[in-house]
Amino acid sequence: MIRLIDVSKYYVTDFGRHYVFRNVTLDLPLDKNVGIIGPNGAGKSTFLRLIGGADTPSSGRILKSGRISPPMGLTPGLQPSLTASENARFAGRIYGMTREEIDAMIKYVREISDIGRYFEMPVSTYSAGMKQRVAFALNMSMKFDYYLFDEISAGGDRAFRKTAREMIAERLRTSRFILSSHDIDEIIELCHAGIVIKDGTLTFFEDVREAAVFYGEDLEKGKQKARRRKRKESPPKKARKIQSKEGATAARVAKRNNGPLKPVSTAQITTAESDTPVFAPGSLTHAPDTNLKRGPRKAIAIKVRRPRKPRHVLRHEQA
Amino acid sequence: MADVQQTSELTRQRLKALPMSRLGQFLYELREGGRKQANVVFALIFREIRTQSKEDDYGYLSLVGIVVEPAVGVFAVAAFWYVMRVQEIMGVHTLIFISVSMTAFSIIRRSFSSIPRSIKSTIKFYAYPNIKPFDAILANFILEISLTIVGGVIVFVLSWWFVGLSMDFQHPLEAIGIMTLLICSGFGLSLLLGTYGAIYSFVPKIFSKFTQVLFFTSAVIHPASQLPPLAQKWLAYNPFAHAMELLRLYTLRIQPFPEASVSFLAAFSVACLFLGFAAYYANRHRIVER
Repeated sequence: MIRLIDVSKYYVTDFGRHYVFRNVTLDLPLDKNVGIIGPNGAGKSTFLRLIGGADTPSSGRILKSGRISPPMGLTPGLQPSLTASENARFAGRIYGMTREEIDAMIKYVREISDIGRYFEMPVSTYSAGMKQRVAFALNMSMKFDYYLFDEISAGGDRAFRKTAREMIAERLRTSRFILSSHDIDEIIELCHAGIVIKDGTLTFFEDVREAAVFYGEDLEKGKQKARRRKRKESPPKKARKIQSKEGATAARVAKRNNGPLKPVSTAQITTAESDTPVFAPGSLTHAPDTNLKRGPRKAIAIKVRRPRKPRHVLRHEQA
Repeated sequence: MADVQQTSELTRQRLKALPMSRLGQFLYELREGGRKQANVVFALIFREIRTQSKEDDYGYLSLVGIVVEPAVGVFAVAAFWYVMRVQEIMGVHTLIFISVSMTAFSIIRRSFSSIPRSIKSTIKFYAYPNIKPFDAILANFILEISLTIVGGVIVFVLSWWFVGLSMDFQHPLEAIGIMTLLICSGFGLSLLLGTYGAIYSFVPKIFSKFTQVLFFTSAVIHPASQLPPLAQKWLAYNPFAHAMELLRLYTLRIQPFPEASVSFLAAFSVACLFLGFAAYYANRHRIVER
């Protein structure tokens, strides 16, 4: 059982206290997996850290029974200068394991993490995915009543995700977990109950689907609002302007040549409007009528076609 | 104030199974908690040894450096006195005189310089609920002070083995008492500086420089009683000078300066411990949040 009694958590900032939660009283059931849903910065990770004991509430109490794992997520608690093997040994010592138990644990972590020779190299040489594999294997190597996962599927490749799912399913026979994720489908698949965190309030739902619907409606409202705001703020279609400018340029060329339109270059450039930016900020984007411009402009898909040769040239070549 | 309680289900089951009084339960939980914290401190000490050997360019030699540092300091200062043609200070061989005070001063130096940095170096591990910043300070303090004391013992053994100098401990318990007070004040200062060092990065830098000033104002390389009265008056405000003088009194029977007082040193140690724990308690959330 995990019981939060009048828990508040705030961070002291230059602008005063920033409250993440205010006076939260909640009982998390012992027999259910709980999914935590909420937008970025809502306080999902803070909630997990509070339950895991990695952080303490500013006021109120958290009563817990049973062994609870440290919150495992995108920032695993691994010492960069030590190897994965040494980190595993350290974790084993913290939990008071004997030497034999620690050796068995290291073997298990090596097998599950599956990072090959990197296992005996410093963690600072690992990629983010490798770090997450080791942290996951390390957590799974110890028996807990509750496992805390923070964005478990955010890193790692497909094979690792599959292994992680299988291991979680296997561990579910004896343990329960609290999972925070942006992937609503994953939460619905793995959890029974749900918590939606938003604007410093926690809403607990016995059924995770209700939580997803509640969050989805909220999300849809937010999206609609954002769309309306964007429509008000954004200038009207730039690509069309560009096309017309290009047309004007072509017309100017035609006028100069005193005749119908002729190919002006060896490549024909067509522009099309796209909603998704394809260039990183600061990279070069193409603006057909003007010089090259910098910055995250609206993306323009550039399609380069090889121009067909005029028929008379083809005939001449065939001859 | 926030109160986080975590009791293992297994422990509860065991407690239910055993017929125990309330006091028995309390003592059982205290012992279990102590065992857990001892595991954490033990693990952190081993981690510190591995980390220092890996992160330092000299590997395990960096740990040897901590052991050898007092010896190097002693021989350097003794050589300085030899050059000045001072072979004895108040009837005691210079090497022995310096050995006693340099070993004690190394504890102060470590408390001011390296130990306060341990909170920052273990920040990755605060995701583990068992590990608190206090454990990091305690583990680093135990490791470094043990190595320093081993270094001091090596100096005495070397002096006895090669030069044939030995100390006549007249008051060993009093000497151990003074060392304990010094260690307590060192731990309090480490906790104080470590806490504020984790919040304000300039704090450890300033205080590591401050040790150089302390070296010359704590009667480490010269007896305070031979200084002019005005200097003695100012020196009486420095508790570390009291510690050096009293330690030499109980180990070498060198008469201290008149103001030397055990109660002043004891009061300073208690004040350091109180300030250290108070600073840690008041800022424990802020440290973890960082």
